[in-house]
Amino acid sequence: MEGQYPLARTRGLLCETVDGEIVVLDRQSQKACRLNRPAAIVWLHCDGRTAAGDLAAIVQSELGLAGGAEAVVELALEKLEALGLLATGADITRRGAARRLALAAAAIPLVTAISVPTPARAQSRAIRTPGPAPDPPAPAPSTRDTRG
Amino acid sequence: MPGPPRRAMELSRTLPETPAIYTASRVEWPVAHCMDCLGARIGVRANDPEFWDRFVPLLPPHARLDPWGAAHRVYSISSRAGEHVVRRNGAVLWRGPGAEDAARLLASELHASVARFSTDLFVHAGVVGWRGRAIVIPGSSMAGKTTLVAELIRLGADYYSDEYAVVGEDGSVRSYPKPLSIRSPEGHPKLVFAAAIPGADGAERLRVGLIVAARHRPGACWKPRRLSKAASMLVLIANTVMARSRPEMTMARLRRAVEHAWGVEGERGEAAETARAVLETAETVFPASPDPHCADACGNPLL
Repeated sequence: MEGQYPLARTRGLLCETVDGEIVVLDRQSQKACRLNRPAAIVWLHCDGRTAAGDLAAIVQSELGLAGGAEAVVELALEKLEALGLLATGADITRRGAARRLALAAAAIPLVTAISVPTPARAQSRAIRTPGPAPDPPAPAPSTRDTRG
Repeated sequence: MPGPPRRAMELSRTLPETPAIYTASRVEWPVAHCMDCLGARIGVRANDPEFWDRFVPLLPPHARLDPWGAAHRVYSISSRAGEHVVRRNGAVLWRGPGAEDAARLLASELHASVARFSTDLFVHAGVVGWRGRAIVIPGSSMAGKTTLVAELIRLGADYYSDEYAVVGEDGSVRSYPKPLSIRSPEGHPKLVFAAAIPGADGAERLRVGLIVAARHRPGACWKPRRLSKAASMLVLIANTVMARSRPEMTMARLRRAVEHAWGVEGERGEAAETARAVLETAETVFPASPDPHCADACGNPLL
């Protein structure tokens, strides 16, 4: 990981921090992700100026780890890159499987992703219809009617 | 009495989805209303007043019928020679001989349209009130949430909805007590109206206390695992109707919704057993009596 300066992507993302974890909604990929605390710590410190090696020291400090911080960073960057949450590639050497075995459960960075549903997928119908009419594009929000 | 139908060409300039053409030339519309429901304005018209009279109890909760006017979407139901045709913005959605099927489809469409155009955030979920908090059961159709809601009601919970958690700006949930749609073993839906449900008067907004992501699997034993607030928020996003179109609202409101909530997930078997377990969990999370151990340094309750 030496010589790498990962940068978190910000464009097109909406983020909320909840109890040390982060929920990210990616408007480009229409995916929503949950970063657990280890993954969140890594992502938040991907500022393009902090070397990947230095991230390990930060993680070790914030999580109170006795060891394995490099593996945490490596795994986290791998997952963040896979989900498009890094603006610059981390060029991860994928030794993840072996590294995971060495980490305590609480230190394993988790990035859970779901697809943001379309209105049709999120709703239910009382009875099946023989193919609904195609829906016009969703209107702009907060339209107000004008009665006249 | 509703006013006569109006041409609404001018409406298309203000509400993008309003149909540009409201053809009333060949069909008489004795019934024409603009339904206002939680900020959504849906035009509904019918050529058979008797059909409409039977349909009124199926209107969405909180609906107010206004005179025909500007709307986000328009539904028409025309009945002639024993056949009913349901249209949305002029396009045929369904046709058939069954008035009951037509009414049920129209009701379902109205709920979906309210969820789409309301100024509130609609999450596909069952909701009950318990000890002044909302228990939210997210899930899509056929996930079994209605059955679980029904069992929770039998155990004394207040009925809020079997279809939508309506999340306000502060993250609290308001009631949307549409008729309970309970499916027979063959899969046919049967409606139980809210007025017949004890405790179905959840008038106040409730803060979310518990989020239950339960997947039904026959024979499963309910052994849920705890979800973090962030994970609970992800579950809610996965069931939010307008998450793609209103991402900022979705994130902000759901963040507030999970602020004081616990989340659990797991597979469940029988609804009755699961409902009892859910209420036991709720008693732990937000007990009826303040727990002296659940307070901050100033003695303020944490939940």
